[in-house]
Amino acid sequence: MKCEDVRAWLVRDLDGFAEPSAEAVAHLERCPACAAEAERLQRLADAAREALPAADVPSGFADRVMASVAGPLGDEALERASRTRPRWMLLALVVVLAPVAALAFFPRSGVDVRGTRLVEREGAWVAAASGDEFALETGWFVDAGPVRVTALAPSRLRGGAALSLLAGSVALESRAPAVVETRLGAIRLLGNTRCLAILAGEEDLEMVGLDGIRGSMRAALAVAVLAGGATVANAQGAEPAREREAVVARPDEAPRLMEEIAKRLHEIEDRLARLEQEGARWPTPVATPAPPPPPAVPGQRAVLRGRVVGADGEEVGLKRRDSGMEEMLERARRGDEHAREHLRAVAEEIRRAVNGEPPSAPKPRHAVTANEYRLAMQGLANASATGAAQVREAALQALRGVELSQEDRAKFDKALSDALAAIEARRRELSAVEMQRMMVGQRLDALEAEVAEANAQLDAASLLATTRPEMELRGELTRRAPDKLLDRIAQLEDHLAEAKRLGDEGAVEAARGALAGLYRVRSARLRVAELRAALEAAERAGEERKADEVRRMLKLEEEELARQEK
Amino acid sequence: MRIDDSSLVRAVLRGDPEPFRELVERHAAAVFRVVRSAASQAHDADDLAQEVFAAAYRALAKIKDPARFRPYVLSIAARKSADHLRRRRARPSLPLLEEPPAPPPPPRASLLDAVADAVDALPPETRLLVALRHHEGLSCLRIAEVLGLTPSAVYTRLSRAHAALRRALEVRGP
Repeated sequence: MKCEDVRAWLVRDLDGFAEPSAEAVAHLERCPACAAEAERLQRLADAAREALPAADVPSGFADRVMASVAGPLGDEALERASRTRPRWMLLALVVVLAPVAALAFFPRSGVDVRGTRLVEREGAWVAAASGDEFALETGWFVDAGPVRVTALAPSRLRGGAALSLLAGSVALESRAPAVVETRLGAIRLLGNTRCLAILAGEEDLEMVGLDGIRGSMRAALAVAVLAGGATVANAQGAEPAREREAVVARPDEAPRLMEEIAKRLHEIEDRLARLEQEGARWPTPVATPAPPPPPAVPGQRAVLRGRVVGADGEEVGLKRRDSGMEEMLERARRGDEHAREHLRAVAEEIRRAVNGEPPSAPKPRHAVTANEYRLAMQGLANASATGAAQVREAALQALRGVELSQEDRAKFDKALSDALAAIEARRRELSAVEMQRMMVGQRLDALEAEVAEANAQLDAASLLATTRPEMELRGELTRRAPDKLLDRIAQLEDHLAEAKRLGDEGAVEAARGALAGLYRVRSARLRVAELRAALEAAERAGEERKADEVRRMLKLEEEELARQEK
Repeated sequence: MRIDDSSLVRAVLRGDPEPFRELVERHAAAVFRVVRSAASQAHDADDLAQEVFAAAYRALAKIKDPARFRPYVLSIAARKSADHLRRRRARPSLPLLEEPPAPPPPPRASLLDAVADAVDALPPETRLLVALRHHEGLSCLRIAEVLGLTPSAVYTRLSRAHAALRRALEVRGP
């Protein structure tokens, strides 16, 4: 292996492109010049490593990771967990909120997000929140009250997701039909998909999406989540067939899920009955337990549970705190009328869902609390960036069944009106921003093309002059060469190119033959020059043994050079 | 006695998440080195690293060789970092959650000054490649495989980066 080959190998090795070569290593052991070059390149790699940004692991990092991945792993573990936790959680997991399936929830910390600030987070449309703090990337957010959203799955949804939280309600809308496409397990969202979740606001809730939902959702679909239970309701304008597509479980899972839900429903109703007996203060008798549900018919609306599987097959988590319902039961046990009524409403909704009946007509839920009302008002005041009609629907839906005083209703109406105006303004603003982004993107593409071209030129140049010492040697050769070897090479290369262009095969062959000889001479001169430099260095350093070795090699190379030149 | 990665991974796969903590503590520094080269802000690096480990945990059952947890998690780190850069380029961040300006870096050893400046001047994508190459020792082909790039693209960028660093070294001398 020759010095120039070894040096090229060294550069390839630095770039991570070289195959292991025992021959090169052997050469480095006996060639001081190449060894020096290798040392120089190693110093370069060391310096690069030292110069990279420092990466101290923040304290508590492992704790945060562990908090985010809390719970056992794998299907078996999930199954085991589901068998050993026969509580409301199983029913409460029932959230059929397909667009929100894009969300994954695992606790994060260190993100300072306040309720009313629009926050850009990279790669996800919802980034982080804790307590009443919430953030979105491309949408907007307001105080969320009881909702606790902690993180997002890596985004597969490109652009145009907006989510609003209106005092315990969640609305999610995809706004850009041309680009919105999300694939999560079996879920595929199309443009104009809208989803609305209304939370009763009674307890913390980690909203999750499901796999196992088939079909597409178009038009408006509303999902109501009522303090531990979940029902799917057809919003105004949704076509029944599409609604059916949207809310039905996988056909092979639906019967089993329905059966399990019915079983849990009976357990809950039994429990309510026991509570009634213990407390003996129920204002009205608990409804008679529902009869066993009819066999599930694929295509009917269903209440589901499941786990979220991202587009890349990674499970993104499904957690639902079950303490809320336990607490509700405890409150009911202590005689809290509101909790009792709430439990009955939940049981009724679930019974209807299991039986495939339409949801009950909205009933007065309860008088709105001061906090809830404050959050609703603030939510509206902060609304932006999504369709006005959907926000209006969301707001009306959120307030349906809530008894508001006349004065509060007037205030709410005004807040809604203000919010819609803010939305329109925000939409115009976003349109302008999107246009600017598109132009910047085009400019970036052009610049990238220029950079790619420059890189190609650099590559071509590096073939001739990879390292600076080699360039210096070439310069020295040029100065010393009496026959202007390099000029002749350049001339012949021009001839070769011209012969190729003209298709003169004879001339091409002749030029190639001549060039091959000149290349050999050039290589021999390079080797001789390198060895002379190495000899001078060894003599300066007083390394006689090395100098003798280099002299022997130099003699051989000079003989070879003489042969080539002859 | 130090338990090897393979045993820890197997313990996690048996349903006990706690050994994953040890894996995080062992490999967090390497993951941070990779993501830090792509994230301009410390909190972004923190978020990215956390996403990396969360993803590694969720997909742990897919690991082919439990003993190779480090390359496994570094691959995820590289992919997440590249995604992060792509997204950042696609969507310039709004100035609403900016960190305060970072304090000036501490003075560096004189020998490294020029190289450090050259590294700082590299585009983030290239800095990520340099980190993967020189911190983690990944080959060009492996980097290309992890990031979904062509080997020639990786080679070209690394060559350019090395040329810049070589110039920096030559200016400063040995």
